[in-house]
Amino acid sequence: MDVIREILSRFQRLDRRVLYTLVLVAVTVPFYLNWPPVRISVSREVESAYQTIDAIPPHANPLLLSIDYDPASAAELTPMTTAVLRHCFAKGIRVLVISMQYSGQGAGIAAEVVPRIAAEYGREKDVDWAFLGFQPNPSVAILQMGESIRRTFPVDYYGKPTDKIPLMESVQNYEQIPCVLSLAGTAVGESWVTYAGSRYGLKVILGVTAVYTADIQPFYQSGQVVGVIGGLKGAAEYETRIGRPADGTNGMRSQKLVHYLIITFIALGNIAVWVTRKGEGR
Amino acid sequence: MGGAGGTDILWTLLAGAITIAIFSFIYRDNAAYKMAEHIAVGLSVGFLVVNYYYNVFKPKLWDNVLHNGQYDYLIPGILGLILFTRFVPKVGWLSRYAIAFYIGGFSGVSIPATLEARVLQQIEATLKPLVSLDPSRGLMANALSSLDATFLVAGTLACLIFFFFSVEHRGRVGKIAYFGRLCIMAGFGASFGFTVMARVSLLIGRVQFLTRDVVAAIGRLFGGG
Repeated sequence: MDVIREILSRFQRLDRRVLYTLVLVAVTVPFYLNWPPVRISVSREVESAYQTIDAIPPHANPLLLSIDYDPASAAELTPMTTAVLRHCFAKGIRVLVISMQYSGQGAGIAAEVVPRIAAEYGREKDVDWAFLGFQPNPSVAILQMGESIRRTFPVDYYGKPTDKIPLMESVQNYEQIPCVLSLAGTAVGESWVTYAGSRYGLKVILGVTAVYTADIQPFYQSGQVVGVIGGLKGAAEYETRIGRPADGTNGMRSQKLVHYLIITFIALGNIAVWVTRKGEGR
Repeated sequence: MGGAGGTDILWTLLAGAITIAIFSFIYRDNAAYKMAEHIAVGLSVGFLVVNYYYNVFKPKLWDNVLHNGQYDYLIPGILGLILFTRFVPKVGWLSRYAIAFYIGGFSGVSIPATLEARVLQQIEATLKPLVSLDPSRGLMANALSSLDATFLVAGTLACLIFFFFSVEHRGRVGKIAYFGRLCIMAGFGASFGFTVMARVSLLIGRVQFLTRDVVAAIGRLFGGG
């Protein structure tokens, strides 16, 4: 018993760098071994997001895709962006891309990701998709877009007048937009609910980092948000739904292994404290 | 190594080196980490300033006033400029006008909308029928829906009572407040679980970058494809 107590006592003094190394190994190994197996079931929230986007008629009014995140959230949200764009471009759904991320870095991400995925499906710029650039004050811009999208974005990201973009011919304001998907690592998503959803009745789907998922849930339950894609898990679910596993699905193997590791260490740590205290007669 | 491909390789390798330098902090604080941290902060600020100049200041103020003759844009321009009077103590009070204008305007826009979206519609969603009797759904689905609605209303009321301090939390009130506390703890637990997943996702993103993009860049650098 003393030997076990000694081992557990040492366990409590374990150098944190050992834990970091184990986490790094647990994250890295699945990329090379395609292990452990993961079974991804699509949640109600992601299914609802998928169905809402899938219901948009091809070659008609576009999905409004707002890339509202910066590189710090890209690990979770870029797999989501990629999966949704693949869904739209495969089905011929047009996509109108904007960014409300305050520093403008979201626009940089959109300028890299959207043309790349559009090229995969041979989709044409300004016809099948357009990128209008970024506005730094989300609440004001979202409200202004309810009146006129062209006035909010007089030129696109590349400097072309919005009036000259074929995709924009039939688009004036939210009345011509079937729904908006905001991919956000901050509270910008809530601004879409508050200003576009409540005031203009626009259908809002939110793709958020895992940290925000629990905060967004009440909006989904109340029906203010029609779908939620939460964190890397949400991205993996969307990839599963469109039948094209990619970075989100691959990342879930690492998530699984790291979660097992964390749970094991939490359990061992608690047992160690309990056994040590018992030995000390406390 | 040349042209766009060569530039890509260079940037990818640089990003990989900076990622490793940032991670080196896990072992201990060091010069490489400090340098990477300073580069990240400097780049972010530089990006922000240049981006705002070309995407906000120039098209919204400069072009509108000088090229389009829309002089009313000078008003927000001046309000923006007087914010900088805070750096001069004698005339610092001027900046309060700009702040007052901004706060007043923003409050007017956001208070009614926020009240509608975050309070009224949320209350409305809580006031659901406790018993679901939808004939198009099965008995089990109706039972689960009723349980869900009852739990939602009970949990909401219990959480509100937990934060109601005008009555001492004893007896029945104490038990309801305790149930409210359990609901709040369940909410915090879910948030914590999601936060852990988010942080692991960030590491996954960087490891994917290092094991895929950086390794590929090294391969291309040495002519491996």
